[in-house]
Amino acid sequence: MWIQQDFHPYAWALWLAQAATAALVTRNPFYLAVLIVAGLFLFATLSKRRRRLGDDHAAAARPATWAPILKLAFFLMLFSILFNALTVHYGDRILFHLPESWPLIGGPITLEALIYGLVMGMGFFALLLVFSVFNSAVGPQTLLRMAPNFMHQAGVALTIAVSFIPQTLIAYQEIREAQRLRGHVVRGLRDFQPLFVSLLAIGLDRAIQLAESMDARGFGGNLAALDARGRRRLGLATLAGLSGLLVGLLLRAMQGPGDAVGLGLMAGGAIALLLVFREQGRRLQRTRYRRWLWRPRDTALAAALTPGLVALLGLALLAPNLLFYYPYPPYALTPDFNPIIALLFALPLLPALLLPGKATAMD
Amino acid sequence: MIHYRHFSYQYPETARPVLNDLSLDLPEGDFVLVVGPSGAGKSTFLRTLNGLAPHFYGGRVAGSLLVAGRDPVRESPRGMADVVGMVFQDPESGFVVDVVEDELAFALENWALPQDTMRKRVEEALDQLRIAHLRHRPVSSLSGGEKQRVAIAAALTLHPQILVLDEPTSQLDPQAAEEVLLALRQLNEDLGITIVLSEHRLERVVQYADWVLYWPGDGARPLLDRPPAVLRHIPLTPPLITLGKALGWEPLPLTIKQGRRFARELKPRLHPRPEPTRELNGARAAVQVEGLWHRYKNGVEALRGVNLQVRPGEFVALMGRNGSGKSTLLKHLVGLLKPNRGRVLALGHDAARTPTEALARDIAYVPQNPDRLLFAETVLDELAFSRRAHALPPNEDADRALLARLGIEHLAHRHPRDLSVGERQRLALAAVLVTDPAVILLDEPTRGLDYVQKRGLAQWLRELRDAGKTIIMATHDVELAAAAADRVALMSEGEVVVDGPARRVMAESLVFASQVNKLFRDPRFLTPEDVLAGLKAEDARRG
Repeated sequence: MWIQQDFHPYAWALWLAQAATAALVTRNPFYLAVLIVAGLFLFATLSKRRRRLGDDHAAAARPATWAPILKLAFFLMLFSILFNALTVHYGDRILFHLPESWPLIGGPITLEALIYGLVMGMGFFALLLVFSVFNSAVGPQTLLRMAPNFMHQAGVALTIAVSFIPQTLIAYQEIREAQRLRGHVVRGLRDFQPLFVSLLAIGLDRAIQLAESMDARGFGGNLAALDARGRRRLGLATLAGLSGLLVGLLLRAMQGPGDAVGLGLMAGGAIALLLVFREQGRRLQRTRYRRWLWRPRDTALAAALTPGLVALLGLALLAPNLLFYYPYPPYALTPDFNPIIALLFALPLLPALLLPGKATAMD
Repeated sequence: MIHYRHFSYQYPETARPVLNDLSLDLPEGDFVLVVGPSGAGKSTFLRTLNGLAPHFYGGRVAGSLLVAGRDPVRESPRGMADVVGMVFQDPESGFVVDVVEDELAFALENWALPQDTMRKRVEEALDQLRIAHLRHRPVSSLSGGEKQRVAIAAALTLHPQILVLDEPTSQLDPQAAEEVLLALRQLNEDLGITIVLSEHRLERVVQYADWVLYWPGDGARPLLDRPPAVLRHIPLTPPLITLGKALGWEPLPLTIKQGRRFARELKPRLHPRPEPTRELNGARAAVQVEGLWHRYKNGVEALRGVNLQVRPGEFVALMGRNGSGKSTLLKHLVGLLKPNRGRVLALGHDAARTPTEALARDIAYVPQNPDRLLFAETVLDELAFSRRAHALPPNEDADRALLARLGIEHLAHRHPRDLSVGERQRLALAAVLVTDPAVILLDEPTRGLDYVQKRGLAQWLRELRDAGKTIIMATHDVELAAAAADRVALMSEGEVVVDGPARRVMAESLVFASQVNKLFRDPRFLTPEDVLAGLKAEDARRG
């Protein structure tokens, strides 16, 4: 049953928090490079493991679906370098000149602009890489199953929506084929109308069939009934929570971020809404089929990542200059490098090291 | 177990009740087969068993209904979920989660059973349907038969006493259907689960049934009796029983085994009518396929060097398992797919280089799901749309004449989605026939059709062929191929394995042989008509 699990989903969630924080707190290219290398290595390790486990598993195919996205992110990074270098003509170290008469790109091309493009691209790539690794390790279905009770119904709706996308794509293709068979050439927007009507009809048919099947299998029958008083209380709490949030937001927008009353109102509203969610969640009676194992390696991972995350957040809040990097003058072009800080950015590699070398079906 | 007393049900905004003053008892632990023409109310009847009608569809109910001691009208489908398990026609659109094991656990989680119980139930259901090896697979990667078995397992986990199935095999090829039906029979025999199942292709399932419930439609009363007694009285019968009834065989045989005895006695008296030889006009092929290879993007090699030549006026049935490449081949003939290697000459055009929109004017194609082809507001609009798309002048008289030939002229102003399956099938045909194409391609045209509609289709296709059209039809409906096709090409794993006259190919095959052919093992007798004509010839000789 835990065949697809290399780490407990909560351990993975902690990993995501640490790695994503690392990607967000700095623009220092050395640290980002460390993070990217660590992420790519982990991604490769996971893919290889999955392939060894066999093609039959749902999870086996997941890294494969993320690989093209990473490729795209890589090209975006290249584009970011090129675009920044060609359009920002600011900086001291001029590499060469393009004729001034060329619109936009004409003028001096500087090393600073090139590096800034690189740094921005790396930041973006690192963040996407972190999410790709997390998604190929845990998967959206597991995430939804981890969701707290009050989100259960919304979670099921989301699951269905996710599975509807590929089905709708298939239906789209079938309809397009059918229309070509009837000689229908799509020239303008208006010619799309029969297509949308058909797609809508198919989607509706499918929704009805699915709803029937879910109803027949007892979905939605597990919500405990609420008496009139309880209903009124929940309604009032929801209303209070929402208005608190809204008024707080408005106050902050008008008075600026320092406004304490607005902040207080928002916090109060949020707490009220959380209480409502908890109450709703308690009414829902359901159990979970899946169990996840928390193994020693999960403990090890958590033990290393938690201080890592705290250290990163501490650095970002208390000593931001240690992570700061900006290539343009008057700042130094050469980034700082501190091996101990670099270690924090290498931490996301840890799962690859903790996994047993040989994957077996029971891992 | 199941008791209807003066039970009526009427959909909202309709004039007449679908179920009218129904009084019926279905016995416990039996296998009940529900049959009847399309649109007779079978599906509605099945949906009353767990309360989907009226809870899901609304409408009015009168009289009383008790299922396993409970009232579905009061309890709603959710409340009935642990008594009645429901399986639908298209398993895929009923799946909620992506992995087999989770799909099985879905109902249990909703029912808030303890985790240990859930795990036990899931393991049991996996074993009962023999799908334990599929447990970690995403449902989308399964074959049709596997999907349907997963759907049945998912309905079983709550330990229902009754399993209700609405045409569970209509989308499956014969082998996959067999898989599913055998599993059902086992559930019925080993666990005593009451099974209520509707099905069009009686030849697949009638031997398993303890009872047949026949819905004549048009508000007439249903008939419940032992299979031979019901089959004797109804027009919707498979070829074996049609023949048995025509010749007065007693007791009416339900299986080939039971029929062989009568066939042995009959055979000496049979003298087949001489086959009318048909002149095929023109030496040039209507469709010529040369060394065709096709590989899908996911790496599946669907066609591996297919060669096929179809002459004008030929009627070819492409047969073979699901996934043997039949549909892929048909799509190449109109240029919807491009070959990796080899080529297709359709009416002299290279299909890969001619746009489908232009090719479709002379090569009509009705896809597996005819609904995909229909998108206009009315039946007549549908034909007008085709004319516009092919830049032909509007011609309502011709359109009406075409509809009349297909027997759907009275529906000219109806919305295509309001028609029955059989009517939609014919409308899809009409929509591609307005251009008077020379070649007609059909993919699985008998899905969801009952025997009467199927006979109508076979006759219609033969008329088209006699009018000089070339027809290529992909199907696993053996009886339709036997009744209509001149030639059968058997495909397997992307290759044409056997290709020859329908009579010879079908007589040599075990799987792709018609019932009558299995009975006589003689290429001259494929259909009841062949046998009856043979008898007539004999009688005429004597007289």
